[in-house]
Amino acid sequence: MAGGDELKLLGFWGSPFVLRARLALSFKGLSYEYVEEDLKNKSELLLQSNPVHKKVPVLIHNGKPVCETQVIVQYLDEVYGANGRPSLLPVDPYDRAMARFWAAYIDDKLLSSLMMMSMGKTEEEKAEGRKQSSGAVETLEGALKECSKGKPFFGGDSVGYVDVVLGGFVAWVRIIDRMTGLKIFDSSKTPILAAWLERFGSLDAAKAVMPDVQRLVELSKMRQV
Amino acid sequence: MSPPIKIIGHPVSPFSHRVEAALRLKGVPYELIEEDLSNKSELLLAKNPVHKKVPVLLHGDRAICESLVIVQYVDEAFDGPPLLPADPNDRAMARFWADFMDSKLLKPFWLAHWIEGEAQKAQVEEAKQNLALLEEQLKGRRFFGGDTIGYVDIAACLLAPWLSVIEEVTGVTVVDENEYPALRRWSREYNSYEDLKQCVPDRDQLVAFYNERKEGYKMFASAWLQQ
Repeated sequence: MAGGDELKLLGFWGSPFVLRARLALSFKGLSYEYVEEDLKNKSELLLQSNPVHKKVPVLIHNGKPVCETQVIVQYLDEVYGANGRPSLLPVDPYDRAMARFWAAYIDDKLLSSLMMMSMGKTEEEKAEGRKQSSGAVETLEGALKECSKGKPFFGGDSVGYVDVVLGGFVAWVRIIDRMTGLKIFDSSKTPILAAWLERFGSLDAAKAVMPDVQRLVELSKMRQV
Repeated sequence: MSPPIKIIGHPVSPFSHRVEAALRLKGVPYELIEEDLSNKSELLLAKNPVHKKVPVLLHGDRAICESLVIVQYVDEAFDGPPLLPADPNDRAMARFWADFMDSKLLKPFWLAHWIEGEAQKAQVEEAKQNLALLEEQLKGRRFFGGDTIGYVDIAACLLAPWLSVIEEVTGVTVVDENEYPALRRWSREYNSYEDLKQCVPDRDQLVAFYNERKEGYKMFASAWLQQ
């Protein structure tokens, strides 16, 4: 390709949202410059590139910023959709709608309940979080069954949009499991998701960007202080 | 020939309106099945088991839920003027601002009008900050989408037919004409847009609907504040 095609990602190693963006870049085989942000001392570049939310991840493509993780992933899929690069979103509009629906569900229901469960201020809140996340995980089990149609991923034979969106939480799910002794994707209750977790986590493109679980545990403990 | 399109929705719901607006702009005929929001139908529960909410788009035997997911589906499944821009960076911006509407503006905007007392001040403050960002986006443009109504305009419809209605019912004004002239102008233009006339809800009916249920909406707002 003539000229520079510069991709830069502003991120934080412990963020599941940044992980999603990195998973998308990894699965699409894209090279980029990764810039680790100090969230307590945000860079000028971050503040200028994402003035509305001032958050990571931010993708900067040839100097133009793209913000919000799901927007970033769709952008990457649209710009780098040709030349044999894997597509994350399916072609058919209905399948795309289903992928977007489940991606929205993951952020709307799973994320909020996992946060309540792990960071709730009272025991009641945490218990409510456990209950809600249990419900959300069961619903996702059904979603995976429906979307995969017996194949390994939400995207079918290969990793797709929902896999990447849920994939951002893989490390986080593992640390919650480790810290609480609970299994969020319990193989006895949600066998398909439990298998997905192992399978996804063992892919080279996922391993390449997955943060170290022990380091995440330390980070999590620090935040609870 | 494509199977018929139906929407399970309600004229008072801005989310339901988004779907109607998208279909009208694409020139796709549809039937609106008006849901009794206080007594959900078997059909709704069957077609949206996850959220049990309107709107739901029925296209043949397919059911699609979540208003912005539906709007993108309509844009991709049917011919007609595109709702999203062609350039990928512009598309990303459009998706960003539509997401902003639901994730940042909706809650404080709604609560600023419906709750009272000390808590209201914080909501007004937050709503105003977010409204200022939208005002900025409109500078020099007729619509968020440019010369014609597009994805972001549809996503922002709460600030169009519903704006003056909520102000009348609650007696609260947050989107001050002097502070947000572009937004107020946009709102008026949206409400009188030719292609959307058939699906912009009747103002008097909306006012009556909210007035009849005022106490209920206030209670809902208090509960939402606590979440």
